[in-house]
Amino acid sequence: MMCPKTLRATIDFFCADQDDIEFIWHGGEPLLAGLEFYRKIIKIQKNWKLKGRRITNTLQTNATLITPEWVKFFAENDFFIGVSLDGPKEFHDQLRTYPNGKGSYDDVMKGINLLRQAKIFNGVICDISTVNYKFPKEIFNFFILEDIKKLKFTRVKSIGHCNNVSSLAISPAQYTDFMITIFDHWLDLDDPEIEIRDIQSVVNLILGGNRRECIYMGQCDQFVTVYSDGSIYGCDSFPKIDELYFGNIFEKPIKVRSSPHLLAFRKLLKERKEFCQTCDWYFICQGGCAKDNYDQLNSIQPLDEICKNLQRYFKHISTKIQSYNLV
Amino acid sequence: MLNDACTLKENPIIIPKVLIEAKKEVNILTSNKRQPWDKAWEKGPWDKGHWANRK
Repeated sequence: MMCPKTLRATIDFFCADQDDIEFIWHGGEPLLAGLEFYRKIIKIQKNWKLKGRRITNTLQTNATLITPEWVKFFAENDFFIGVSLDGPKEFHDQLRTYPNGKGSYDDVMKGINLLRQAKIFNGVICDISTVNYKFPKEIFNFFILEDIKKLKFTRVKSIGHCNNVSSLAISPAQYTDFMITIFDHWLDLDDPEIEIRDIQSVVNLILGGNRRECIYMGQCDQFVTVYSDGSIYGCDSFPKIDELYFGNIFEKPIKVRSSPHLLAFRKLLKERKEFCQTCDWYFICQGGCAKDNYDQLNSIQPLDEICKNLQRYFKHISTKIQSYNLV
Repeated sequence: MLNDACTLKENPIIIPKVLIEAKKEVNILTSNKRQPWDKAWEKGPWDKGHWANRK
């Protein structure tokens, strides 16, 4: 866990020369840090807010430790709380268990209900894996029946930070099939209260907007991860590798911003974008996720399997939108 | 020539509400009525991506 000195340095580092800062607290399970840890965060941030900084706190939790005391704190301090829930009990309990093997579904739902009562529930991230990828409609309907309408579906990939999840990993084609069914079902249900971030980002871009999920920004250098020892690495989609070590929060921000690794990463992203510019779908993906779309960190050309499936996904959504003469 | 009263009318295309809302949002984003969080996208390193946060 991050010690108080490192915590203060982290907040000071990012607030020192920027007006808008978003902190995303995650782990492991971020609530294991305890309420006192977050009270310290608010206390440190308060000084920066008085100087005009606009600070947002987001926290992604498994919700099993949520209590009325946590909820009160989050509500009072405007935290956005996202919960990890992998669909109905029969799926979720296969994937997320306590050390004794018991599934966590019942506790997660209790946590969600507490967050909901306080109106600080900010939706669900649902991992799509070998356990649940064949059931997109069932999963979608489950969430709607539970009145959970802010959703993000993520593909379980073969590389994780902590556990070996290779038996749960699904292919880009399986994930694309899942998302296409979700898109079609989203149109069929036609409920404007339902938010599915990836789908709405693609729809927005096809309609001429610029609402981009991080994977469609082509700016993966804008997302960094601070580990508990204060080391700053690239986006946490990557494993902790030397090439993406940008520095430490005890260093001056200007030094970290001019880190050779960060500059090399930016050059790589630029080269990748140049390579992709002739693709018809470049206006959406901008080279895509720097981690998932490429075989190696130094690869310029994205993986064919990824591109084919992204193109299939974009084309499906685009064709549907065109059928309504909206573009 | 067919009598007007007998002319078959095409079924009107019913555009889903979710797409109408999406189009409205695009119109707002491309106009000057931008939200405060959009402005963060145009700033320096690590200021961008507020809406598009990873979590």
